[in-house]
Order: sequence, then C-alpha cells, then structure tokens
Amino acid sequence: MVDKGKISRGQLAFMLYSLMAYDGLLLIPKIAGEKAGRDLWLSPVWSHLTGIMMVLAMLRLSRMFPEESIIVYSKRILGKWLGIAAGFIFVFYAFYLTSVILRIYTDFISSVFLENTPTVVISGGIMFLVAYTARGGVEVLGRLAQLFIPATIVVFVILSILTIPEWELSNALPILGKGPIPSLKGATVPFTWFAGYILLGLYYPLLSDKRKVTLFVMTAWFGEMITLAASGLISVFLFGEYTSTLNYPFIEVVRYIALGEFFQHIDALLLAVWLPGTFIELATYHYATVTGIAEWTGLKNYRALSFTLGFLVLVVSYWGITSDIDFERYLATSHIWFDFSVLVFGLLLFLVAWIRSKLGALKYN
Amino acid sequence: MRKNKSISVLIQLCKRLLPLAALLSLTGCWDSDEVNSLAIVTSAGIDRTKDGAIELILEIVAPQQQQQQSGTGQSSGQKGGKGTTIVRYAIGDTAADAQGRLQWKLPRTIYWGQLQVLVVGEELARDGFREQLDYLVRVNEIRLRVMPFVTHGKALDFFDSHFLLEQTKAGFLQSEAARVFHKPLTLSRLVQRLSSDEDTAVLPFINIPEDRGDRGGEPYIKGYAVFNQGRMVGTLTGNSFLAAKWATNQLKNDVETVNVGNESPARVTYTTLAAKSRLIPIRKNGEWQMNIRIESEINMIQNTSRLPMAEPQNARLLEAAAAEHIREVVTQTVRDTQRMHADIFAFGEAIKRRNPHEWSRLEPQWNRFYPEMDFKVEASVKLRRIGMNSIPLGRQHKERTKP
Repeated sequence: MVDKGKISRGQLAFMLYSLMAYDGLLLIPKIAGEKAGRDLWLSPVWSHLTGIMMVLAMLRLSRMFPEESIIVYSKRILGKWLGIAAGFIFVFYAFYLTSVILRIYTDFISSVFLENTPTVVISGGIMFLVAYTARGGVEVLGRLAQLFIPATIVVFVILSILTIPEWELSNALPILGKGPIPSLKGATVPFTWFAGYILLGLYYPLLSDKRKVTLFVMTAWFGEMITLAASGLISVFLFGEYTSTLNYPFIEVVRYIALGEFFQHIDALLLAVWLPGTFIELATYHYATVTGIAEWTGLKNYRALSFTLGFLVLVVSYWGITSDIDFERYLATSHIWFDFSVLVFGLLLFLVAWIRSKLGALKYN
Repeated sequence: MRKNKSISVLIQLCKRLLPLAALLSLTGCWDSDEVNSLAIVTSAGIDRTKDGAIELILEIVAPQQQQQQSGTGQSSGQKGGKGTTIVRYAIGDTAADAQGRLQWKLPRTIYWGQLQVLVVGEELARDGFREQLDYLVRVNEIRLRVMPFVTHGKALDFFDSHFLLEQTKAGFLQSEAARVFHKPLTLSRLVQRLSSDEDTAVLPFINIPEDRGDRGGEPYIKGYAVFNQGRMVGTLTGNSFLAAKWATNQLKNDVETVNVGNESPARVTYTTLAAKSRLIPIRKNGEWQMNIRIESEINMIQNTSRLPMAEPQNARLLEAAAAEHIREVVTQTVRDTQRMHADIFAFGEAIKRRNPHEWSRLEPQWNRFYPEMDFKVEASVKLRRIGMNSIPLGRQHKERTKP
C-alpha cells in the first residue's frame, strides 16, 4: 500500500455508510417512486437484500488477500495484463463516480439553496476540501468520517421524529397493492449502487484490526437500509404518491416540519445532515482514485496526485451534460448500466478468485 | 539563508490558511439576501380578470409602516389602524407572469419563503386553477405547508375586507382554519388529492360580508368548495359543511341541537368532544357498498326538555337522537356530492386500499359509478358530560322522584 496510515473498523463502517445513505436519502424516494408508487420505501429493502451478495463477495475477496489492495491482487487473480486492465476499471470507476456525485451535489445545492451562485464555485469549493482531505491520507479521512457521520445520523433521526405529527399513515396503504413487481422495479437503481462496495478492496488492507470486520460492514449495510427505507416511508406518509413528482422529496419533508408558530423553516438542518455526509462520500471515492492510481502506476507518493485529479474530477463533472434534466435522465438510464457493469465486474473477480483458489491455482503471499 | 527560511514559513502559513480560503467560497455571496431588501410575502391571492388574464395579489409585510405613522413622537409605540402589511397586485398571462410584472413595480425582491396562505377567487376556481398552482409548487422557496382557500367573489375583495382582530390576512386565515378544522388542509394534501385517481378535492370556502365596515362583520369560513376534475363545482355549507367535516375527521368547535322526547320544548344542544369516522367498503351482491361508520362523544351544554340527562335511559334517548341527526345530515351530504359527481370523501381510495385489483377495474368508470353508489351511515354517539348541573333548571326534585 502506498499509504502507511491505518483506520479502525468503525471508521470504515462510517465511510461505507456514507457511500449510499446521503445520495440515497435525496434521490431514491424520487427514482424508486417513479416505478413503485407508494411502495417506494420497500425498494431499498429489496435492493439491500439482494445487494448483500456484493458486500459478502467483496469481504470474502478481501479476506483472501488481507494485506493487498484490489489493484495488486487482481493481477494475482487474472494474470498480469488482465490484472492491469482490472486495476484500470477500478480506478476509472472511483474517479468517474467522484465526478457524478460532485455533479449531484452541485445540482442539488444550486437548485435548492444557492440559485444565483455560479455552479463552479459550489463544486470547486467542496472539491478543494475533498482533495485536501484525500491528500492528508486515510487517517484524516477516517477521523473526519468518525466526526461527521454520527452527528448527521443524530440530526436525521431528530428531523424524522419532528415529522411525526404530520404522518398520514393510511397514505402507505395498500402495501404491495399491485403486487411486488413495481417496488422491485424501483429497486434496480439502489441495487446498482452496490457497485460502491468495490471500494472495500482498497480500504480493507488499511484496517488496523481485521477481526470481525463483517459485523461492522454489515452494520453499515443495515444502517443504509434503515435510512433509505425510513426516508422513503416518511415521504410517503407526508405526500403519498405525489412523492415521485417532487424533485427532492426529502427537502420538502423537512420544510413541512412546523411545531407551533416558532419552530419552522428548518431546511438548513437537512443541509447539516447532507453536506458533511456527501463530503465524506466524495472524499472516500476521491481517496480511492488517488491511491488507486498511485498504486496502479507504481508511484511511491500519492499526495501530489490529489489536487490534480481533483481538478480533473471537477472538469469531468461538467463534461458533456449541461442541463440538470439531462443529467437526471442519465442517472436513471445509462448510469444504471455503468454501475451494473462494475457490480458484475466485482462479482466476476470474486468468482474467478474463488474458483482458482478451490483449484489450488492461486498463490497467496 | 534567513530569507529562504522566512519564505518557507510564509509558504507553510499559506498552506495552513488555504482551507479557510475554500470555506469562504462556500458561503455563496451571490445569493446573499438582506432582510432589508426583501418584500416578504405572507399571503397570496390569485384570480381571473374578465378577459381571462390572471391577477396576482400579494400581501407584503411592511415593517416600516409603524414608524412612519407615529410621526415625530418617537416614543409613542402606537400602532396604525391599517395593520402591518400592504397589498399589491398585478395582472399577467399566468401567475408567474403576474409575479414578474408585480416585481417591476416593487422596489424590493419578492420573497416567497414566508408564504402562509393562498386565496383563490371563485371565478378562477370555477375555471380551474391547477395551471396556476403549478407556479407555486415550482418555486423553490414555497413550502407545501401553505394553506389554500377559496373566497366568495373576487380574491381582491377579501384582501380589501376590513377586520381588526388580526394584524395580517395570513394570520387571520390561519387562526380561522385552526378554529374550524381539526387538521387544516395544506397545499400538500391538495396536490395529492388533485393528482389522485378520483381527482376531487375540497377547500375551505370564505364568505365575505356584503356590507364592509365595522358592522358588517368579518370574513369567515362558511363551508367547503368542492372540486371535481380540477374545477370548482359547488359548495357545501351549513349542515352539509358539518357533515363533510364529520366524515373527514375534521370536526372542531361545533354546536348542534336536536329534539329529544315528544314534549315541547324538547331541544337539547351539545358540542362534540371527539369524533372519528371510518369508511368501510363492503361487497354486497357483487356491487360495492360503502359503510360510513361515525363514532362520537358529546357534551351536553343546554337542556330545554324536562328529561334529566343524569338518568341513563334519558341519556340513551339523547344519544339516539344525536346519532339520527348525524345519519340524516351525512346521508344528505353524500347525496349532494354524488349529484356533483365529486367523490370528496375518497370512497375510491377506501376501495383501493381494501381491494387494489378491483379498483383498477373500477377506476376508469369511477366518475359514473360513484353517483350511483350505495352507502350506509352508521352513527354511534356516547354522552360523556352533561355540564355542572344534573337536572334541568326549575324542575322540582319531587317531580323527578315520582314513580
């Protein structure tokens, strides 16, 4: 590994939680709602129940090579040239996803909060911080995750509790009124997001303690599922089937909160959940890109790459797609296939490793 | 040598300060809004002019008004009779267009974030105001908590109307809604109903007294405006309003009077403490029938009959009379809505919840099915309290104990 730093298992769990929870909170109720109607809160449950195979496969794979990153051991599994190609796929995925998330972040902030601000200021500002964090190494990233994520979870729970007086429980009925098919269709997008767990291949060797990692990773997995299902369910309780018509359902949920005359207009609290969460998510992906490329090219020092790649991410996030509408369409169509191929790639890597180890053809350290 | 060192210290310092520089850009100065530069809208009205254009009326908070009126006397905190808001309006092709035109005339930026109520003129409501609503749900400052109302006559008349008890029209309508309804209707509920399969909705209907001025009284919520396919098709007032609130669990602060027993006078007046209604769809001979089950607890506040309600058998009489009253008005009201082809009680939704498959068969012809639909009202009433006096005033104790 190019980074000598170590992270704890809890920090890893927080980082994995951030990979899905925050974007999901914002986008899943809408994306799933288009297909699933009032069953949209069930979609994350289905996707997580199926996505667990990716999580377990990546954990198993990492445990076969506990001291090496995915860049190194994919060469061991697939042979030199295919292995280098596999390393490239991983690095490209991490790099590209950083830019996609940056774009989601920019679109959200500029359409809801900072309408007149040039978007490059919004995305450039956060990307600078992200690159600075990634440059600091994995320990900085781990500690930041440990610092921010618990606070955001607490605020999210408080926000959810504050909506209780407005719940219209009958909005969620009938559950599975049109059978399980619509909610399963809605589960496709969150399912493909499980491609993100491929990052385990990079972060696993950085763990200081490798016992009972499964438990921690599963906690993150479960936490994601609860967060996404809860945010979907609350949106349905408040807005029924109208949820999927709203561009950002959960921001409307938070805006709807009003306790008495004085406790309202607390939209900024959602930002307090969402901003640190997305920051950690971006940094997790960006750090994976930076160290991944350093390892792939055989550089001794990864720090110099952070700002350069950060700038490239910034550029790529604007590349090609200018309008928000087109980007949203892209997320719901082509991007599904991109994520899905990476998911399949991760599973294939695991299968090859598993079969070769059964045949005794795989050399461990 | 020394110079090099100081430069490297400077570089180190810059490195440390760099993240702070990044923080500065996160504040987003492009979007900075000073309270002093905003025209804060508390209530909005939309209406239709005679030639089909849209009129947008805004009630804007005017914090300076007070100082101007107090004139030279700085210490006098006396409040002007005009209230603390001003009303401005503009006409345009759409609501957003009218807003743009209004903005030309206003020295401050219109800020929608504090919008609390929306008042729709009757004429526009009858024409359908869904197209104008689109603007309000699109603006990113507006919350779905805004309370919509329909006003009798023109929306501008409501904003011109005179009342003294509340400082703003928004505050007035909000407290009015909180007084009349258990859970006041919001924009969220309205858009849900308008985009539901039945496409019907009700909105509170405001009455404006003809004679303006101190004697004429204030505007008040008179009933429900009924919407079908996005257009206002009628109103429910008086007993129908009461019944509609009953069936939709919105009852609050009602007073009702029924006759108990055969002797005259026999009027008993009561208020409802708690009411709960449920829609139970059942299938009878292959056809859907709706059971409206209403349970309520009442508090007797006046008894003009000679029957002491402390006696259980008399209490049963009152309960039966009150239940009969509920049955009567609710049945009448449902008939009225059937005549309007507007399923405002969400019968369709109830069937959908019970049997989603059946509903997909019924849905296309629901507009024809609903007016013909059979329904039954079941009411059960419990007398919970009779106030501070046990037997009717002036009735002899002797008379009561007589066998």
